[in-house]
Amino acid sequence: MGACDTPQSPMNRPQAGHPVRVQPVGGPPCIQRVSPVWDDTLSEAKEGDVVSLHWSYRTQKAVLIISFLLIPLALLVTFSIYPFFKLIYYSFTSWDGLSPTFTWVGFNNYVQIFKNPALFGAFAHNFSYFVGGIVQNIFALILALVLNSRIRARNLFRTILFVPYILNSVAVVYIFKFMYLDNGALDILLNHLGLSHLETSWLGNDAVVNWSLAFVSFWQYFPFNMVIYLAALQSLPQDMYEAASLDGASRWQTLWFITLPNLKSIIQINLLLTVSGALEAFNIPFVMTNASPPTATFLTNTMNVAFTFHNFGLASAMAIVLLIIVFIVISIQQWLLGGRREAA
Amino acid sequence: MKRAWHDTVWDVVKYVFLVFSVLCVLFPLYIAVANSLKSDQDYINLGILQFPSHPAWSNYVTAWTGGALGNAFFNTFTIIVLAVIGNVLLGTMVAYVLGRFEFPLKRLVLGAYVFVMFIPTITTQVATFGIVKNLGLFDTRWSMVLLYLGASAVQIFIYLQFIRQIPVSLDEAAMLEGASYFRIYRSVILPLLTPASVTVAILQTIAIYNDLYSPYLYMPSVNLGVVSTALLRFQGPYSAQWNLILAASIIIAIPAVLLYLFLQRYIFAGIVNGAVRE
Amino acid sequence: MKNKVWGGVAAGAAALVVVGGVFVAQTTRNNASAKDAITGTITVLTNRTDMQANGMLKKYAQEFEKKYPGTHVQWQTFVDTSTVQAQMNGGVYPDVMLVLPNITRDQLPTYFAPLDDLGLDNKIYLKDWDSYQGKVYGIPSFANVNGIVYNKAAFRKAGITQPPKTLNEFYQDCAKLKKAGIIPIEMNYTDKWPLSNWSNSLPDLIAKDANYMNTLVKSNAPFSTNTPEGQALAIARKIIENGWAEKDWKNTNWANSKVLLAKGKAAMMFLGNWAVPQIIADGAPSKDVGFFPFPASNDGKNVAIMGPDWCYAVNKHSKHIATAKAFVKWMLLDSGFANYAGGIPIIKGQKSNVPQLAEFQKLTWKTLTAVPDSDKLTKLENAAQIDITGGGATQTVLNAPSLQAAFKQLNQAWANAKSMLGY
Repeated sequence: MGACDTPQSPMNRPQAGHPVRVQPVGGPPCIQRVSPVWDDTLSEAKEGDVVSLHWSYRTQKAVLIISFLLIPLALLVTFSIYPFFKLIYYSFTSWDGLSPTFTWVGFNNYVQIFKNPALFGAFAHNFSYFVGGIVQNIFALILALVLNSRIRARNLFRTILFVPYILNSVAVVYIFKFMYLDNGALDILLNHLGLSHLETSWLGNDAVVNWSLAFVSFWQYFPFNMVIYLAALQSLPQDMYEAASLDGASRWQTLWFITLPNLKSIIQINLLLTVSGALEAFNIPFVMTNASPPTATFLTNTMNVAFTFHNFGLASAMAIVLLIIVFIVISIQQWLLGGRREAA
Repeated sequence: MKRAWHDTVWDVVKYVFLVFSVLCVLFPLYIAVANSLKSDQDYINLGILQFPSHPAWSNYVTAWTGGALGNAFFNTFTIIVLAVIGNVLLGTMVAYVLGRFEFPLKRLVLGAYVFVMFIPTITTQVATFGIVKNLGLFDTRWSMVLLYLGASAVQIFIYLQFIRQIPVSLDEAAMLEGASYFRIYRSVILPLLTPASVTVAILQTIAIYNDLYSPYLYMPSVNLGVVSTALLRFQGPYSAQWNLILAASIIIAIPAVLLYLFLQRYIFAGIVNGAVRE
Repeated sequence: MKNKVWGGVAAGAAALVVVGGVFVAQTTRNNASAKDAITGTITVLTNRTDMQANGMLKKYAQEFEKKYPGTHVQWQTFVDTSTVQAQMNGGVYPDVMLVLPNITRDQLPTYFAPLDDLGLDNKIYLKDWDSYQGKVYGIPSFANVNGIVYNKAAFRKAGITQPPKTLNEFYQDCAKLKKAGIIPIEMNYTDKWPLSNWSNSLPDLIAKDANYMNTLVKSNAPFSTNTPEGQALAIARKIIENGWAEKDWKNTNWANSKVLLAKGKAAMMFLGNWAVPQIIADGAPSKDVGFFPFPASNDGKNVAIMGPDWCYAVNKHSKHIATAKAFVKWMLLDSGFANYAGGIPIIKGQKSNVPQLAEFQKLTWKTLTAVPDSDKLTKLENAAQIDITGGGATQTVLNAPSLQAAFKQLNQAWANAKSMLGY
């Protein structure tokens, strides 16, 4: 912080026409909060002062905005926005993905999604990823709380616990596919633990298979949540806790009335990521079980409708429905947890 | 006295929980390593939990050559380097413009980035595919680079958050010395955004390393395999030979683990920044 | 200072030029094609990932390149067809293609070049399989008869002396095998495609009519215990319900299963003659691998249907159409692939070298020639989202709570689609 002893508060912000001389260009980084946006008046006022410039800052600004945004926006429009509008258009046609003709069918595709239990019913399989995601957040939060308390070898624990997240997801799926084999490592482990009555066909039993798949997701992604919770815990001001302990608050009271409320926005963000991830589950069933009927998720069904049954119109409508559902679920979640997200 | 007893129980519970979690993480990895090192003979004769007394390193050679993993690493690495350079340049450019200037349509630009974040990208591939094809990039590494190049909403927000913390006074000082806006971007903003760029680079590297569907769709040629697709293809003909599949999986895991051990601090910071600033 | 201002503009402009350049490159590229010369690089699609692993694909490429100097063959394998389909939708797909299932005949000219000028039309069987309006767009790489590949040693161990001739005998043999601790029949549920025989071929065998499947479009409820289609699926389901399939049957794949069959831990698979050499390659002695027609009825008169394996086609947008066509011709006439794959060569006069086929012929009452699916049937399947051709329908039936529940669901989807299409 020592290097940043220049005036930073909004009060000291340079007034138009009277710039305050500050840190020279290229100085050490000074990360401090200041009011972010620069307005036009400032740059206009400078125009006269800086004689060495051939272009006025006003012209520069226009040129810069256009040239800096051109490529990023071109990419955004080309690869995200344009395909999205195409998607909407396709969803109202019966396009087969091949022929040059597009027949307008109105809302037929949308009606079909809700009428066909085989399509919409796949959300039942997404449910286990959803529950898995919630459990994953709870587990990660508990781990973060433990790691944040006074313990030995904290960094060693954290280092090991984070490993699953950085492994390649296809490799992880294969490792678990191996674990789940009939008489495989998991069954044998249960045997050793005297829990052989729990053995089952982990990928063959309909009642279990989606939980087996969701566990893979849990195993790979809990470290991500854990690290975020841990960072959030570490950033909570210590004096709060000191005050609480002076007041004689118990561990549970501190957790319930101080820690959790302060983590609310972080929990919300984590849940947001987990929930949209659950609704869009694709890779794990795709690689692990070839998205066979008991494991087909809404998104694998969508791809199947498009690429096996050549019904791009219907598949596009399914994509739009998925998008709407993601929006709805996230809104409900925001509403339930109350409050507004603080970050950006 | 009572309190100390309480604390001891609490400590025991904590460590038991931690050790249990660590075992949950390590057990599948141990199983994978142990079985990847078993010769065909050992694989049949030894129990699944046993570690072979004579590790069959030849499995790793077979996996490396049979899966064309060297080539896959090269492709993955090339794509990551090019895409990340592009992400950093384009992301900082967008953030500079959005973070430092007021102009009409600014909110629209920002809103567009937020909006596309919610589109499940897999589903728009049909339309995207046509574009990649028309650009003549299908089945080239450039298709991947270009798809990853566009800065995502998450990246933009990370940069915006950081750029707001760079004092505007720095820009102004530079202006006093006659620096152009571009010069300010290059000499003030870009260097000061380095921590954000590290975050962006880490998040994007993890994303690209893990992506399966896009390379599968856009680079079907065998010689254009990336780690995910190479592993997927390797699995087909070898799916009865678990020792080889696990060896290939471990090979693909190793560089990521090594990088992680060396760059741990940055990775944690990167992930936290990425999520919290979203 | 001016330079620095321009620096920003130039950076933007430079990137624009790059993007623009790609557009230009794309538009000019198409003119410089040499369609008639056998030269240049072609990409060739194949389903044989195993031949990539064992180097056979490379060997074929080298032999072709030796015969036609200046050519280069690049193989492309696929794990499932959806990505190939996406490539076709995008209009960029390999020069030498395989005709994917679920493509209707009227779509063939949209994608593929006619192959009549290869001069093979009079020399091949199944010439009309992938033809439209008198032109040939796809030529089978080889032909197959579907039937049960089995391990004779496993049969002996269970005390079975000869292959079953009737459906009842088949069931009895399954029970004997199970009793002997051998997996009677492997379904390969997870792979899905191995299940297509149950939904797509067995009904023809039961009906003793190669055109039976095309008559389904007339029926409002084709899935019932009174129809060959329903009966075929019921047989598959009976196997599962009696525990005659793999214990963990919902988690099985072909590459794994063929090893078990080769070792005699499993006894049967309902596939085709093409599977025979692969079982042998996995370690079973040739004399222990047998092949018999599916005993689809109890009258002992078992039919077999000869149909094509994957069909070669040539991308009509290919820059090297002549090279691609030359490659198809070379694969058919010179490569020896049909025999390597254990198939029946479709070139008249070439003989199959699979001894198991002769044995198979003796057990077969009649061999019918397969009839391609009508466009009407394919469109109906697609609209109903019932994957008869690819095995998805069998998966649905095996996975349903009961046979009747599965039939009800399928019939309803079928009837809805029919009314939607106005059939």
